[in-house]
Amino acid sequence: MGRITLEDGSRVAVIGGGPAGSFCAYFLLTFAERADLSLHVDIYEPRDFRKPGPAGCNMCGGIVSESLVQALAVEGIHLPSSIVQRSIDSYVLHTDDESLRIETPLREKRIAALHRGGGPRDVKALAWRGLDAYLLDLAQERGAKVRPIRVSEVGWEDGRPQVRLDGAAETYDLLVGATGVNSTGWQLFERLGLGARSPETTKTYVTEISLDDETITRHFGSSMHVFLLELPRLDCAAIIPKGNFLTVCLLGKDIDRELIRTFFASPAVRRCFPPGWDPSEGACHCSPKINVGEATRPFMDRVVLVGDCGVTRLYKDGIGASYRTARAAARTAVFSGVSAADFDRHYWRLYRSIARDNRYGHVIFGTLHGVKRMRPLLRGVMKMAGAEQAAARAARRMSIVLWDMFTGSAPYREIFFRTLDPRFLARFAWESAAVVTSDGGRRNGVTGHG
Amino acid sequence: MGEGALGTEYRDGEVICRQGDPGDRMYVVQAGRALVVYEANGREIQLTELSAGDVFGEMAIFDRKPRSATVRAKGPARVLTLDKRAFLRGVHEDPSLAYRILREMSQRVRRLSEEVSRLKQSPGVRAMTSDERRYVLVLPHEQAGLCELLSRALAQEPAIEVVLDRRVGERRQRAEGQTPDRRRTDRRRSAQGATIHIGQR
Repeated sequence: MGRITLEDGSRVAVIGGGPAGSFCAYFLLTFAERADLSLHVDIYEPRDFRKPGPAGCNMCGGIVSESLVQALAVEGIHLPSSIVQRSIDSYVLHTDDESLRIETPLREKRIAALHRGGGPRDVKALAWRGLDAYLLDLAQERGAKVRPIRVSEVGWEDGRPQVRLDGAAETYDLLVGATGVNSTGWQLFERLGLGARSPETTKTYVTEISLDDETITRHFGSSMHVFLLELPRLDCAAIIPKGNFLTVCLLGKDIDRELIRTFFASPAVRRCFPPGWDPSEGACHCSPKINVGEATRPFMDRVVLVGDCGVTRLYKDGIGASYRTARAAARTAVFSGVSAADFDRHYWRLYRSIARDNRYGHVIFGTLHGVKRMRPLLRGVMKMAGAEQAAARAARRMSIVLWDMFTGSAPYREIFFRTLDPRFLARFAWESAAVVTSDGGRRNGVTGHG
Repeated sequence: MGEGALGTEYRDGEVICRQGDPGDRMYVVQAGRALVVYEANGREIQLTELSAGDVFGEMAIFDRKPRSATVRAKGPARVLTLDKRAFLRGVHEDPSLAYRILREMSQRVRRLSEEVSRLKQSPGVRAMTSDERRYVLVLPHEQAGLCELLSRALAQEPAIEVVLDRRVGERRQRAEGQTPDRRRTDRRRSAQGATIHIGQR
């Protein structure tokens, strides 16, 4: 098969203007400039991310991990205070009995809490811009053209992908799929003949709670709050403080109104909020799907999938995975070519490494699920991490494992092998055994909230 | 600096990284300004000034040697720390991640080459071989009297040469034909008001 490459004047269509689509357009144009190549990039995105509510929302927890904040800074992309509603430097782990604040050794604010769109339905004033609008603007500044059209028909013309619009058709040299998993985008790729299995998904629950800035600062501080509660069907939950809102994300099986009500009524959650607070007030909520199993073979000649419609990191750092896949696909397209063989040689490796790492993620979260149901082990986790936080110079083995697991800051493989360290296992076994043998009641108390 | 500010905040004059310390991380200025100073024989030589978007501390990541200079905040500044391991892991996965760092280092080498070239062409400074003088004291042009005094006092000291900096007028003339970026760099240097430069040979 002959080489298929992008030449001066080549045209690229990016279907979807979320982070994956914007990053891909941005890097296509950045790499093309480095290679003295002139490209025309169209981004098809029907939503206006500046609008509040569902019309401009991409339904997401809205966390940019510390690894992504750092990677973007190296790229020269700095997330300004106009989009970062709260910078996060710690997290508080809550169980039914106790709460523990865990800080990074640097104690630096390197996690960004933000909204993806214009904000929740009941936002009173648009004080911050959303991430998706910011990234789309970056792509446009690089030269991408945004076309506010929902693509519903695609096909081929002389071996090139074609986007068919009302009464017109646009032919491209490369089509990038960045439609996520919450749209009908996959049908477009099937129509193009992509014989891949679509991503496996599960539903989550996300709600936005309106509170004033001062109350959020006093009760939640600059910490992400993670809940490991003994509630059936709930794997884990997180409360992320932002400007005038708290984003609450629940992860589990068959999350329904009853489970949501039970979660908000649980003592661990109640003790985070001001006394008398009513969770039912002013909530904007959704149940987005998330990718928990990658699409097989996400490319063919002149077509490549990036972001959630291909592969993402399990439960965490979805925006980071979008950045990595979009960048790798753009690099392949500009410096190597746009044939299936090129993507196989240069894109597939990264794609598979994310998918392989998720296998370790499944093991880690499966283990966490087991630990959560065995109270001595869960208390052993809390005791070990608590002792590490209290001692200034102690090795922070459990703290780092928990931090990386809940913030998505390190590959799951790395976390997995850290938990196999004999010193980690010995200390964990010791702390858990101490819980079993002590008369002990439960140690109550929150260490260093907010 | 609000709730959404990423990085660590430093007060005016606070040290961000110190010359001689191990280099296990690098930094990006998020807001404010920082000064890069070289410390030698109890004196400080201001090398450059950094502003938002500038990366520093990357040399120690690549050459695995101690910090080559001290960086301290000039006014309140906010700086993001980048982990060495995370950065190198990213570069290993995709070497093009280092492109921007390489570009900045290239620009720095270019600026330094120009600086060396200017110093060598400067009246009073002649090219020296390694067995000749080892230190050059550069005094501002308005200190001609002091320059003469020091020259006489140190005439018997072969390791030291005292010269008068006559480049101020030349620099202004040259700047008129330069790009805005270059002019800004030069303004920063002249604003430092350095009275004595010591260059080790």
